[in-house]
Amino acid sequence: MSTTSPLEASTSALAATPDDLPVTVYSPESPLAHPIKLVKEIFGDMWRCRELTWILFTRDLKAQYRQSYFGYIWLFVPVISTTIVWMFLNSTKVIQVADTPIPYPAYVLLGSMIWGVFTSSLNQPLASFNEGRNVFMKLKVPPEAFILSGLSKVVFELLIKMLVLIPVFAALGMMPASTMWLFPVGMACTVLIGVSIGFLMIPLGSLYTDVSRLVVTALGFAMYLTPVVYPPPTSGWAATLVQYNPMTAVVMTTRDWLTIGHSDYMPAMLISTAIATVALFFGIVVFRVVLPNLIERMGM
Amino acid sequence: MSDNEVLIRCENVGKKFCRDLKSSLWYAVKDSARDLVGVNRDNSNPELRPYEFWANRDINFELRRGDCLGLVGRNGAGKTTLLKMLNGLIKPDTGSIEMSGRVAAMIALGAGFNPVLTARENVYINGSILGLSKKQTDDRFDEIIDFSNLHKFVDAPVRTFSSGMYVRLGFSIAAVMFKPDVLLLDEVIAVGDRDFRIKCMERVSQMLTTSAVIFVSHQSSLVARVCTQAVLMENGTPKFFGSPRDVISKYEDTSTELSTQFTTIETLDTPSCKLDAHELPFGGSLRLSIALDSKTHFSGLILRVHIVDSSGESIAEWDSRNHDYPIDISVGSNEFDVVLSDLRLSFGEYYISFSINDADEVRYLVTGAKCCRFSSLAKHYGVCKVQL
Repeated sequence: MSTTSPLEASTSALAATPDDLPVTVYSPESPLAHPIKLVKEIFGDMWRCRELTWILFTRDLKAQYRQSYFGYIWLFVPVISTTIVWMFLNSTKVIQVADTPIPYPAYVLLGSMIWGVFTSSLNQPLASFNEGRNVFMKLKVPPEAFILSGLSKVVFELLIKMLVLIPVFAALGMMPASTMWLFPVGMACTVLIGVSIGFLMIPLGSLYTDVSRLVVTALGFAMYLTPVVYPPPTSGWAATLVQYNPMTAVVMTTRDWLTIGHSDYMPAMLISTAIATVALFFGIVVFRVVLPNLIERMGM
Repeated sequence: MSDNEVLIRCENVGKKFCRDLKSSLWYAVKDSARDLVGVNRDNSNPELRPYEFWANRDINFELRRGDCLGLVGRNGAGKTTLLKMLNGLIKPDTGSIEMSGRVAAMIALGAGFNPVLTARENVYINGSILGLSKKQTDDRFDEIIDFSNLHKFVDAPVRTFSSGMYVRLGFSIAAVMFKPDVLLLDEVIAVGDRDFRIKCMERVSQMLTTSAVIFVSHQSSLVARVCTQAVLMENGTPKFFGSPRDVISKYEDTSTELSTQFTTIETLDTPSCKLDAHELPFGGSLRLSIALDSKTHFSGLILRVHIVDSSGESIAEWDSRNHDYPIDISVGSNEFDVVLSDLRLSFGEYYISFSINDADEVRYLVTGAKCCRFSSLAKHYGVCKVQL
């Protein structure tokens, strides 16, 4: 049925949109019709919401420990307990299995630290997006701020976890290599690769829970295809598989940078990182393009 | 800031929704893929896919600064959907929407509040979500707390707040920050206790003159008071555009959920009741006739007649005791006539309900909700007419 509004009829003669106000147009058209405008808008939003990102980050941090007597001390408890466990394992020589270039406990500890930050930065974007649902479906706010704040949390927790390396290295009598300053760069690349996959996961992942279930399973497998707890095999089909796993290069290089100073895997890692950077850019744009479709399915 | 700037322009806006979850998710994937390859959805008249329906269709209007458009309609008529499209949260499937200037939405009060954190901390969080910088919130902080009148609780965690206090704080943040060109209001302006509601109304009225406002409410009296125009939504389409007054009377004609159910004790039959007229001039009178059958004899009963406004609030009561009018019910059929005279009711829709008690007011013999409806044809809004 068609309706002509009296408002429209009475005012159409005068209708003139003022040019001094910014005009936003919503239409079924894909925002990709104006790609430059879209990219500007996305990154402009991300820049504008840096304060919001910070506020959300501190909100979650404060809220996490507010209802606790020891407060922020809890941030360090896992670090202390991990240290104690590794000291113990080292003194008892329980795990002297593999032939690694550095003491095995340090090898595993570093490997799982790198792998851990990879999986959490991979899962964080979707998790943050789902947590913010109630806000996104009601208010016009860049969800990227919520995701960035979640990632800040991942990085912050990583920084604290890294403290454990100091006593462990001392106890094992290890000296960090001269390339140790590259270790944070390696970690940053790990986070970047995780986030790029994480961003690409959001569109499908927020619609179907299959995605996050699948990812949990896949990451379980992937960990054993990556030299996290054992050195890369040198022969057999497993060796080929591990060799072609992009995460192998990332984990190996990052660990080697801190411990032995050189890594054969560095070129492969740089390629992975470059691909991830491009993928992240696309992931961010794709996310923004499909966002209204996702919000629509969150409910009223 | 000229008065005839068009700030909102909707042309042929339509939106499809899907009733089935699985299909809805699948369509989301398809639509997303289409958006990503840049193929435009067929804008002119897209077909409905299985399980889809039009949540909004054929919406055309323009709104200028100083205009306030009331969206009236039953639940599920598409009001919130339209609001979400205007706010840019979801995309229209047909047509286009043009919004000029700064758009503010008072829709989710207290979004992003963390219950463990204090009111002070949450003001900054919520302010930031609504687009204020820390500096801007600093500047407005005292004003926000003054408005909410929660001085004593500034440093209490918001989870210790009652729900009323919670929305008060949420409203105060939203109300203090906005100097919008376009304001979207979704039934939030009546929050908290009565005093606070009045304050909310004042604040909203201030914003009305400087922005183009879309106002969604089920409270007809508010729509009549606040809006300059209104539209009646039905099944997603604008059924009728017009003055708030006309739209409300159209709306109330369509919403005839009269409860004619009475609770009666076994010895009484379900009563019937009727009014002699359904339209009441200002100061006019109405006759309510109640008929009921009884198997037992009762004496000294109390009959109460209530006039209820459309929001369900009882605004006037007639009590048989005050009129020395003893109610006796004899075996067989009984009939009572109550004449309510000199009714100075403001414009709007009203209902009559009645109850019959025993003399000790312990036991209800008959209770019923809204049983008869009438509308007042008075020319004023508000609670009563004031002589100046």
